[in-house]
Amino acid sequence: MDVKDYRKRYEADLAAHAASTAASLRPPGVAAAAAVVDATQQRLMEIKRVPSDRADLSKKIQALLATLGNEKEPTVVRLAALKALGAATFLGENFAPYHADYLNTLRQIARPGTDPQLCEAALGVLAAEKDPDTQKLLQRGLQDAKFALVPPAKALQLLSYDDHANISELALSLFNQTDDLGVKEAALRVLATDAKSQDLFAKLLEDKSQPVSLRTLSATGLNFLNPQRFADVARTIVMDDSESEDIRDSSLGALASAPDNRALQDDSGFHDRVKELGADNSLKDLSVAARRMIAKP
Amino acid sequence: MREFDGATPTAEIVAYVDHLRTLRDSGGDLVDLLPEQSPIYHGRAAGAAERLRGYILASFERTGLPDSAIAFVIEELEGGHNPYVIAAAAKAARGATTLPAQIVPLLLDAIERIRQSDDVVYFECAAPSGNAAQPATALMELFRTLAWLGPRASIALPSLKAMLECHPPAFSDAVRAEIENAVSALSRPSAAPSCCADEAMPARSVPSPQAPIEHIELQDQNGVVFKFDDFFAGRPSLLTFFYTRCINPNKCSLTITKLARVGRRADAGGLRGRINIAAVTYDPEFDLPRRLYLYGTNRGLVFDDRTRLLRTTGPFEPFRQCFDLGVGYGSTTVNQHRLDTLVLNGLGRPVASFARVQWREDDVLDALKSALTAGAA
Repeated sequence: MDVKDYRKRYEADLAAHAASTAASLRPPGVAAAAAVVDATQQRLMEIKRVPSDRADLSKKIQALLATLGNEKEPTVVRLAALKALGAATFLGENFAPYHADYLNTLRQIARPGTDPQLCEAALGVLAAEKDPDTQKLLQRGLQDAKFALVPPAKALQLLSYDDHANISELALSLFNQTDDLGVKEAALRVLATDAKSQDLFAKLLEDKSQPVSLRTLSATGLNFLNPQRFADVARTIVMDDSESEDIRDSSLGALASAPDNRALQDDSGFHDRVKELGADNSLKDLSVAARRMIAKP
Repeated sequence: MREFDGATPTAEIVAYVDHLRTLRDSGGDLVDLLPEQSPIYHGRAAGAAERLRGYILASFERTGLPDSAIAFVIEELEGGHNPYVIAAAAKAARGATTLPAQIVPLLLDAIERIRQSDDVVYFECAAPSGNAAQPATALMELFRTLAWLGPRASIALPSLKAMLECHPPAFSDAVRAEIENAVSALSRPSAAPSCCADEAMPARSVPSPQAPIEHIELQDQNGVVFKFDDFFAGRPSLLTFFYTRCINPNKCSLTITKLARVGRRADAGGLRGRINIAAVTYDPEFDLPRRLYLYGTNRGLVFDDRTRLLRTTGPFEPFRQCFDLGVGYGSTTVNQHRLDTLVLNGLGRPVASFARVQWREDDVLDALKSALTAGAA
């Protein structure tokens, strides 16, 4: 079958399926609401339609940009347009003529008053582009909640896309002030790019009273910033039977994957203990990690 | 000049720059704000520092471009990757009375480099206003500079015409309008030569060491620790600077790739063992030996006793001061840096310097050979 015919048939099938789904969701007797649902479904189908050639692609991208920037369109339609434009950015040269318009449209959306879901999606794209104005907006929201466009954990995640964004001090301050575990986790992910965070990571990793997620993130952060220092702390943790098995397992796994763990391989006390752990059938993942470590040449 | 630092609100610096834009002969004051190590950038995020620097650079369109600022313009057009700063450099060029002959090819290179990352740019206030009508983009500013050059940029005509003939169009309608405008400006008959003033870039003076460096402790990609003089004294050295988190592929990544090529050419030319080839990271806290090893290996660098990537075991600042390096820092890592490459003599003192613009491998090898000859004499 010809590709174009196949595409047409596939699109017709999709349209029929969407129409029947919309009909099944339709509250009886509410014709106006049904019409809106139908119109939205049609718009979504149109957005998902694959352009037939390069000229059609050009028209399609321009239409998507107009839809994305149109405040009168339903949020679900604008989100679909944003998703389609995100896919189109992978077209490289073919998308190049629209890149500036795309970013400009996103900046119009990433502001107070926009639907939160759409605003967050736009901020996500701009943050990935390391846009300084977007970084400023996100930081302002973290410093003063009344300016926040997204929740703090999300803002930290978006800011962490750029390790030149200078947010480690802000992340540390949030980490110390908040009781929200999600925000603390996001802050630690940011701090993993700052060599000055080593002491904090070592302290959290050694502190058995900390939540496992924070200790695991600290292990990852310390291993990234200073593998040698991580190895020293991790050795103690692996040897400590009173430690949580999760933390011991993660630490041993990281040690086993280290590019140079000869110092530990030559450490007979550590080596003997790892052998014992590998032979201990009452342990699950920790035993597996121990056997992997022993098997390493 | 007024005293600013990294804690000064951007708006205050912008207001000062706006004031300078209204004054005659304020170009010198603006140039003083450009070096990467200037206190006004200290502690700022890389994006914010670049935005501020671009804003200052764009001011030369109005105040006139002093000779001392030309290298900053060339640097951005040659290797910049931020559309905002590249557009600022293009605007600054329009304030020049004479420009080096390579300006036209550099403008064309910059167009090609940011063709897929074009963005709206504002130079009338640092914070973009969303209400401005028909904002210019970085590409539009580059084509406007070609149009401003007029017939002096006529060598760009075939390239511009090819850009217009692309199907489907490779540029937006607004950018195409600027290309058409440039084509017509370049096509005007003129008695002027078909290039700009054929001026070479002013050579950078060789920095005199500002502080003692011989006892600074260094560590190489294998973790071996030694003093500066233990490695650099006794033979000429090629010394350059980089950091592994650099986000501009035309800077650090390219520098180490070129370093590897120079190493191979030096070996082929019989210089093995007679010279050192080294690069020191700007970011020693993050760039631990393993990272240095992988960064060099991935760029073709073949390590040996005389070819190493290095980090200071303590702060980098004494190194920066000693060689007057153009690097500034945010709170986590580097926020801006220029290209800095030196040839040192057998005493570890600079005898040649290649700063800001890309160095040519032939020039560096020639300088190394001269240092060898001078040392033998």
